[in-house]
Amino acid sequence: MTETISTEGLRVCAAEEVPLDEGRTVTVAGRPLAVFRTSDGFFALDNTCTHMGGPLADGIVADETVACPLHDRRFELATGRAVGHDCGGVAPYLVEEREGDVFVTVPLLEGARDEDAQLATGSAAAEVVPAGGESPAGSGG
Amino acid sequence: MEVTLERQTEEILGEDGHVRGLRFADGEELAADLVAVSIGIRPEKDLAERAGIDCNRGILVDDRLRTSEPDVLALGECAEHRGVVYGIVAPIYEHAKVAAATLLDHDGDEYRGSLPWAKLKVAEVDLVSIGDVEGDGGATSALAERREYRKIAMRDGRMVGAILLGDTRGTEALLEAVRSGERVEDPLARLAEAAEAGPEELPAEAQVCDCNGVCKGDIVRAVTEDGMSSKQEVMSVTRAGTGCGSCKPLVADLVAIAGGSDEPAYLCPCRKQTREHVAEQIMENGYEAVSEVSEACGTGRECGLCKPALAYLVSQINDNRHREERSARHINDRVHANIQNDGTFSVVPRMRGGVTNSDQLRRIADAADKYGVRMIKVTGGQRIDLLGVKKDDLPAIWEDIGMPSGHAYGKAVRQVKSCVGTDFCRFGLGDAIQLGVDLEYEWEGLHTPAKVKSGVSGCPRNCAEATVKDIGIVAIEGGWQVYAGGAAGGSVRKGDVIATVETTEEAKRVATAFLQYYREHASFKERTYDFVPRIGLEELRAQVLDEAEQAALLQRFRLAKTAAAARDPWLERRAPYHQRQFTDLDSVVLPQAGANGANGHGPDPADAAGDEADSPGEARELELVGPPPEGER
Repeated sequence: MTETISTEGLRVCAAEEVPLDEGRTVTVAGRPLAVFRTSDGFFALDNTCTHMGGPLADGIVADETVACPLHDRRFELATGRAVGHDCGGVAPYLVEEREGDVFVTVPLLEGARDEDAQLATGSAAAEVVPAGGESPAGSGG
Repeated sequence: MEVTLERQTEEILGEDGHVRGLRFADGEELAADLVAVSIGIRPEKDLAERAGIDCNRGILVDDRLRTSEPDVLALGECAEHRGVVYGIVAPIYEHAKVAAATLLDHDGDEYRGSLPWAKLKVAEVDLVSIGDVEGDGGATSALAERREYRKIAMRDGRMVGAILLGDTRGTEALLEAVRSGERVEDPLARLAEAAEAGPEELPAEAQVCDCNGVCKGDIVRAVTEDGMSSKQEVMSVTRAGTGCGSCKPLVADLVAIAGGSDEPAYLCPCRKQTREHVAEQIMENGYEAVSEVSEACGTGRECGLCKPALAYLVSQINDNRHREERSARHINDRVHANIQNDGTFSVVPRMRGGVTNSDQLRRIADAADKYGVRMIKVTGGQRIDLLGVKKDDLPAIWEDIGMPSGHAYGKAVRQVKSCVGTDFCRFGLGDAIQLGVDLEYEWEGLHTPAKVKSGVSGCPRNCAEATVKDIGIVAIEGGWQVYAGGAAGGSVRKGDVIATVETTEEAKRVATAFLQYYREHASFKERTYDFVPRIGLEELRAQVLDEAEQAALLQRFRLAKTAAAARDPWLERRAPYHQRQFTDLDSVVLPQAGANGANGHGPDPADAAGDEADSPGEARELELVGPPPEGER
């Protein structure tokens, strides 16, 4: 089932490797990502909390968000948007489950300059961020 | 006081290592016992200057925060707006709002300058300075003996500034008055009036939180119109108090005034359910797991931050015969170790009564070397803390140490500290070590609403500091005194004596009955130092010392303990609740583009080595898109 290496659909684990309503860290080419499993399926975010760098994969998952284990800063699982705080969001990644395996799309660009890199991430994020969504900051309980 | 301006200090004079005075450039000297040096902020404008952008003291910006290069904006401490460079945080938040509007092409939002004001956040100095503190007139009131000084500055009959030193009452009212340029007939009377102004008198438009620009009216509306009832909820919705935090007490007052403070303490703030209400539901319906409670009454479904509280409640009501759902627990209780600021964990083995032996110490020392423990720390609770252990090393280090969990990561019974008592001490009146060790065996493994730290002292010299523990026992001539509700951390409180008893067995019974009563009645995260005064000593004694009540408490304690004692959580090293309880997913290594793809997929044997596979050279040759990882965790 191996295809050639591309920026799309890297297999990161078998579905059962992530317990329901928990997250696990996976390091993809040196970059730590957090993969979460909920009853709505799998989600992937940058693992590093924008507040003090806590590992989001170790957070509590509820209400389509994860709360960082260090200081409870929350982020939306689907979009990485900050919920109820000012520390900024984290990058989301496309993730899908196929036949019991979990695949994450990590945008890659060989020899990319930093500026290009930022833009490319922006467009990757745009695929999963509903356009024009109002930030839910402050509406959390 | 003589103020000497426009002098250039050339030398600080001194002898024998002590300062004697200053010498200025003109040769004049000034005797001094103490020299304080204070510096301001210089705008960082090099980059702008090199780019040919107009600068003066700072980078010049217009009312939209645009520099002379319209596509370049400047804000904050580097920007100079209408001749003013701001060095405090509140104006910078205002800059940011206008800069954002400019970037989004929103017309209309223009920056007209900020009212400079500052509240000094230094211990024991209360100082507020607002606006133009000189003016052309005004009024002052000074009470030297109380180290208080208050001043209103006026210009053309309007208030333009104020200084409040020592007594900062009325800050918000005066701020609002300066902002609106209030016309004042009698400045001295106005100053007195401001001192009397409580939160009730503040106008609705008075800004309470300067970090986030929240006015009194916003807070009142959150309570009266949006139905928020606690300070926490109001802060979360309005964001008042979530910046520097200095306005939190005022936010709490305003919430109370608006009628929000009589609400009960909610276990689940999203669904507004109290501990008592949820407990009733669990008992009536026989729920055994957090998910069943969530399903039935919705608690734990929203923000999820109450899930650990629900997990405790379900376990406590079911006497630890509940169905454990680890996803409802904090990471500390999923892996039985305390997460540290860098994502590693700390390991504290059980060391009952603070007593160890050479065999344990050897194993601890060997394990510390083997697993690269970053620091071995003796804790205040007479135990040993191994800091900086990687999550996936936890099972192995526990195996090597071979001691049970010290529960230093959870809301649970922690240690029972002891002094050497009659075993060694020439002043000892009671066998503190034996009682400490016995109590730790008796209580260990039990979860509690908040951590419970205990101590046993063998005489009233109290070397184990038992009187400032959640539960403390002190030997006296002819018996023991049992204390509860002490604290010596963020709060300091001397515990209350619940009972003075003659025998060690009685002391154990009273202390254990109190522990169970606390387990059954305290709110999650409510430490005994809040719980004991809330319940009241009379009521507490009635519950814990009454023969029948005590027997019932001890029986329920026994039930809970039997199930809790059946498993040392560190034994999950041999029977994890999930194949990935302690491990991250295998790293995904990318081969060079164009190479055979097989290596990049899945837990290939070459990757399974874990850490070593994290950063092979070949993976680095591909550049990842997006911000670089900030340290690997």
